[in-house]
Amino acid sequence: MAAMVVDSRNSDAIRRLLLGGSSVINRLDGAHGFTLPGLMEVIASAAGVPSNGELESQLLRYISAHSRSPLKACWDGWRSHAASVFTADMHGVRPLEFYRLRERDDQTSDAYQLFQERFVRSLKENQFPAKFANALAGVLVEVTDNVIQHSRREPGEYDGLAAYHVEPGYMAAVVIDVGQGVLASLTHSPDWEHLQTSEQALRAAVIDHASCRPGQPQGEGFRFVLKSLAERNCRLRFRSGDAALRIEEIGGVHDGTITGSPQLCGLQFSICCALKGPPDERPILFS
Amino acid sequence: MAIPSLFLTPGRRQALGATLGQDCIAKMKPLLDRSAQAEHAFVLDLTGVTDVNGSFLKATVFWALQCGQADVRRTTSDNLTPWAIRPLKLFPAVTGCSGEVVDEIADFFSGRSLPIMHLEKTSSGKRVTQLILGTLDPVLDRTLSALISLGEGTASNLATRSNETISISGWSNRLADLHLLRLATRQRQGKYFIYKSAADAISLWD
Repeated sequence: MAAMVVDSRNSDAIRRLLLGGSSVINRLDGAHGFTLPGLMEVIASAAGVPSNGELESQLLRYISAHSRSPLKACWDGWRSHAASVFTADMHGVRPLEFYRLRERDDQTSDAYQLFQERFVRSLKENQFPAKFANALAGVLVEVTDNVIQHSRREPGEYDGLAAYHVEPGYMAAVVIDVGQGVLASLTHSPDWEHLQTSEQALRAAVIDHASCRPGQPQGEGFRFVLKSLAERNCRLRFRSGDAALRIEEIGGVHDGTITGSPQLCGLQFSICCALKGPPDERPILFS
Repeated sequence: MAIPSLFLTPGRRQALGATLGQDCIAKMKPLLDRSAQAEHAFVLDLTGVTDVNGSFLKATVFWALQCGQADVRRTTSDNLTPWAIRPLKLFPAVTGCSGEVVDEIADFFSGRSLPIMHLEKTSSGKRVTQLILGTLDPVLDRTLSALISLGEGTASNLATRSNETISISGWSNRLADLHLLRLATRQRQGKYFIYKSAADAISLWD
């Protein structure tokens, strides 16, 4: 099998295999790298696909054979009781950090503040202007806030993970949860109960700024995200249920591109941004 | 009588997200409960804050505006969460805002065609100066200016002083609108309401 990078598209393929009852270990073994969005969606698949024990056991087998893989750090981040898990790249710097969201306080704690500060510092150390670095941190805060505000119908334990990957002139940030998903969240509101598909729900939430709060049909979160990133060289991916929405060239009128995606609960959000060149998903460099 | 103030300070440089806003409101609940009975200013103090976003504003100062309007409209709520919208005699305002924060607040309220008081100390100390951020209908803006220059008064008082040819009930409707927008306080005196600019009524730093 040809070597491949596990990006968000290939994580869709892995989940499709899994949903079809096939083994994915060969796919993982054949991977020569992971992008952060790909990595995080594989972890979400392990946690969120019904009968996920199969993928989890295959992941554990893969991790035991590839202890320096970023997949191990991501898995540790998901399973850890610690707030944050760092890992170092082949140059010994720390471009990659995972932060788990299990409790409401995880959104407002000192540990979260530090996570946010390290993200900003990493961006500044990698050529991002201070103002843009703060704007990106604001976007990350807003999207992790969504996990607490919307991924569950009732308060309780959350299943979320946030992460960033920074290298010179490039960053990716991802927030995943395996909660109720956008469609279930929005249709809780009488204003949006007519929505029937994940595709409609993603468009409503991201493009029309729909909110699940009764009596408040318009929300602020994704409006803020798009406003913060307008005219920046960013690419966004929102994945929920059986649909994914990709937005590029943010600013002005945009309605994004919808594609199908193998079923997975919750919402998985990623942003890639390059100061120069295309803002594609880039593999994390590990030895 | 001066209206006492309840201050909300985010306690961090970036005031972002609904969860942080809701937590701030929950911590203030014992104080906020007082405003079920008596008028209070709800002052979001953003001194030192470099970034604020719509989710945070919606959960704090916009929440206070909605609670104030719920009190005027006598609407009730059976939602028991600390941040549920419920009738409270609140007059929301912001203070201590830097340039970009002002822009964010103005955008947020303009997007809803609503105004919010922006209060600052004068250079001489305790008196309050007021700007309106967001959107205020020009007619209501003129009415508020007239009320400020009068000090306090009834619709009839404003009608007497004005050159505009509108009825007393027209003035009364404008003042009621200012009260609903939480820009004017009012006290019933017999058959009439005596109105006063909320900024003039608030005891902010005394």
